[in-house]
Amino acid sequence: MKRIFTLVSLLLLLFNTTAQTKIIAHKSHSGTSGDFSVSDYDDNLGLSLEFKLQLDTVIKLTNNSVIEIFHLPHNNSERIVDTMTNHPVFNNPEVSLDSMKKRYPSVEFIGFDTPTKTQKKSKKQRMRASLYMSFSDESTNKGSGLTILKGISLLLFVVTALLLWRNQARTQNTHK
Amino acid sequence: MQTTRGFIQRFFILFSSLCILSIPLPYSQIIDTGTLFSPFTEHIVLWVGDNVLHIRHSYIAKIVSDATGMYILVFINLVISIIVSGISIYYARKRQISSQFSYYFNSFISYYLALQLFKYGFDKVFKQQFYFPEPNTLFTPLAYLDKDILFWSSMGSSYSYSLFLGIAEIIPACLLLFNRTRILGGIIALIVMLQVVAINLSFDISVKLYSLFLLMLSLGISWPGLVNIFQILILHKTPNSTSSIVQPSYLAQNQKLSYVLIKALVISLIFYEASFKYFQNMNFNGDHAARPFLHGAYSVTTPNNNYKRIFIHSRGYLIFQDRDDQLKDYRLKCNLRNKTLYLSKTGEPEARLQYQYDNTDSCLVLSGVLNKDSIKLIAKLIDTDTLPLKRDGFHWTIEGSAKQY
Repeated sequence: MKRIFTLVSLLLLLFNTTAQTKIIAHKSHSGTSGDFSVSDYDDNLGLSLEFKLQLDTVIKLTNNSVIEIFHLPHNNSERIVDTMTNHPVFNNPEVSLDSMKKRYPSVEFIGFDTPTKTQKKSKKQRMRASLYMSFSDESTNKGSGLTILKGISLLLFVVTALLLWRNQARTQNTHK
Repeated sequence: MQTTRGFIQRFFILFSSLCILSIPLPYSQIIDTGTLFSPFTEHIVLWVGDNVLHIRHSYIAKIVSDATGMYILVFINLVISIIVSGISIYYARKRQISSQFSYYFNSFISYYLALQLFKYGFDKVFKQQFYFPEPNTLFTPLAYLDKDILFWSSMGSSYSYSLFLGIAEIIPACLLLFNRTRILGGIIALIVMLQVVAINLSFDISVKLYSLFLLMLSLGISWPGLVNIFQILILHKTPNSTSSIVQPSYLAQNQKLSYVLIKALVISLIFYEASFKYFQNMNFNGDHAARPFLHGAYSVTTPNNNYKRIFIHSRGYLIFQDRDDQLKDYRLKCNLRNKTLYLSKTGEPEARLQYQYDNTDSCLVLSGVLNKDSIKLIAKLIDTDTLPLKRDGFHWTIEGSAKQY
């Protein structure tokens, strides 16, 4: 588990959550004027570019190691590859391929066998696996974050439409 | 008089549209036309810079904040807008722009300004813009900091003020979305943007040109309201109702439903775009975001060496601070399996340092060859949470404040 943590930490070096100007981004790491290059920073106009890695493919190497292939949201051509050991989901024998596909519908899984009838798990085992996934995997939360946002946006759409419609009706009555 | 007014209207519409379409902005859902057209615009910018403006020194032709390329782009947009507006007013039968077109254009720039205010506002509310200073900034003597990074760091040290600034941007953004409150939103946005421009100019923050553009949009939207305020407060007259941009009345008939649905869709899309990255990362406080392995400030304890502190920056840099407080940064890559740090810097050979990190006593040991010098450094993690800057101190009385020392 500790090893997983350290490998994940390495990936965090690529993450960029803060927003600033390119010059401030350069000065923030005590960069000198001679080293400055605009292409080194994704920030522009004090706003940050979305820079969260998106998982494309998971390749199973062995029972305790997988290769994860990511792409950047704004750069579909560039790929970032990372090898993970003892991944809490992808190397978990209690998590079936179907469950992984349900959790990560846009991810391609390579080298994961579909379980045979004899390998099928009991209800208790499936429940345990699903609980483990919901607590151990950070990406699960991220997916649900967007679902929440979609829900809020839909609610906003309905409320705004109703308010505007009411306002229109009121304006029409006033004109009459 | 009507010709001048007609010219200003045409110029404002053209110049705003050209800038909105050509300035690249980081969007997650909306098509960024600035980036889409950038290969074309950057080519024109380079040509104008070299052949028309005869800029001889090397310059950045990319359209990024306050680069020469962006100034040239705005100059091109300005010239095109003046020429086209002049030709248009000369040949146009009607000097004034139709009220229907004015309404739609006013709505368009209001939505654009609202989106930008939401993006900047949310970035402040969720602590993504003014973040708590990086470890190396914390330990840089104040006199060595430039005004822009100093301002950024000061703002980043106060969550409540960052929140206040964010809300001050979100309120006009909300008001700009609806016809009834648009002028009020425009006036508040004008005040907010005036403050932003003043900060950018005074602290040399390189968003000067874009903030001036947003100030211009705010002025354009709030203009009818400003005219009315001038008439009431200065001229003591009843405001002229025709100075306001009103919604065309025909919309109340057959196109009412589509108008309502499109408007509601646009508003929810603006919200979706502006808040996408926070929900995607489920991070609503940038200061609490995960930090990379070894991130922090380390005090060097090894005697007889030139280094005072080592810093690991959240964007993958390792920075050394020497005894004279001079800082030197290196791009950092880390191999966790071999326990090796790879340090690179332009003009220097790549250095490989072996590291050991003990979680129990937060001790970092670095050994290897850096710039042909063999080094072995033992450094201890500094607890930045105990620094005065990070103390959550708020005191109504000076006695309480003095007790902290």
